[in-house]
Amino acid sequence: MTAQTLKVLALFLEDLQTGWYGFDLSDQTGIKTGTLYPILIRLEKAGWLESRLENVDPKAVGRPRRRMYVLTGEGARAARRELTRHLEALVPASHPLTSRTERLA
Amino acid sequence: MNLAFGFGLVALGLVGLAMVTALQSLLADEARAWLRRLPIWLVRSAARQLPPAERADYERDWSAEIAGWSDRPVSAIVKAMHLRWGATGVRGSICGCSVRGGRLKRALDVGVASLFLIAFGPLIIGIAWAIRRGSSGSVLVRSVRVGRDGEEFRLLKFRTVDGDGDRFRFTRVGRMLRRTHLDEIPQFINVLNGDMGIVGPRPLMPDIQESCGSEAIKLRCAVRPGLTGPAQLTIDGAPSLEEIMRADTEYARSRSTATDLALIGRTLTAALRRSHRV
Repeated sequence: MTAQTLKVLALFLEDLQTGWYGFDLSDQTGIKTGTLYPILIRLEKAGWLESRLENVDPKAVGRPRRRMYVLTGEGARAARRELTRHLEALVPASHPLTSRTERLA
Repeated sequence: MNLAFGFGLVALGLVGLAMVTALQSLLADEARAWLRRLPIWLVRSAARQLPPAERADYERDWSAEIAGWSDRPVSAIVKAMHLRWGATGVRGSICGCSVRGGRLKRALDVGVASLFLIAFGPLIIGIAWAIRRGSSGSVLVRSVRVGRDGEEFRLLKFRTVDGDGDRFRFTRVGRMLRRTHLDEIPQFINVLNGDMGIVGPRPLMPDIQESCGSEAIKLRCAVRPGLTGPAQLTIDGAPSLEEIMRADTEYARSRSTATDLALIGRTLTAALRRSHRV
């Protein structure tokens, strides 16, 4: 799993209820749209994300309906598991960095 | 005299200034409209890179997204540009077979094909004349093959046989063309019109593709077939369909402009030694 995919998943995990539109997600993560969409498509194929069209009247807003992506239940569990695994690999429990921040707190 | 010249210069300057101002305000409108349309145009162009079945959906999705950025035109253009540049990656994700490279490969394909068609010009005319003279019938023949996105196209070859149906035989010129693979030259035209690339998996006939299973269909959905492929150069003897598929898939996953150039070079040396199969 790439760092960019983890970044996307982390953002989805922040708030499970609200979904994300592709371009907003790219703006928020700094991942370019051309790189982000392959990630979204792969995650949706794997069943971690699902997408639905936003609930507005296209005539009223004057544009087609946007596609909103949300984590599935399975996706949320899998994303949490992946993120913890990667964080643990980055900063082991005995690492001086973690013990120092604990002392400071 | 000096005074008249001075007035003349000032008048000319004023007229010039008025013209530049007028042009500027005129073009400003044009530029603004053009700037507004650019992201939409880029998004459409990006969607056109996707498999036909998915094209309309993504064009709708992306048009909707880009419309939400109309108040930030510069960001909208940047986002649409990245989408266009990343379109091959999006296509790869949809097809389930990631493939690298896009614009540079196509530019290289068109460049090499044009160069070869020009260089082979006299030879092409000579071969066409020999085919016409040797037997009755057309110079070129078309054969239906499966291309990118599973879309069928007509592969061009010089005619090498005489007669029709089951009762055909190689013509004298034809046998020579087959042996030297010169009968494949017309495929540079297939490259120019976008059906094929120079390097890529060889386009299969529809019924053979069917028998190769999902791996072949996935791969051939993602890439343009080519004139010369890795399987034709790296495998010796008579490879099985499975071996060809493995080499082609490996190529699609790891291709780069450098490997393409190397394969073109090896094809040329192999063709000169007349020891390869295409």
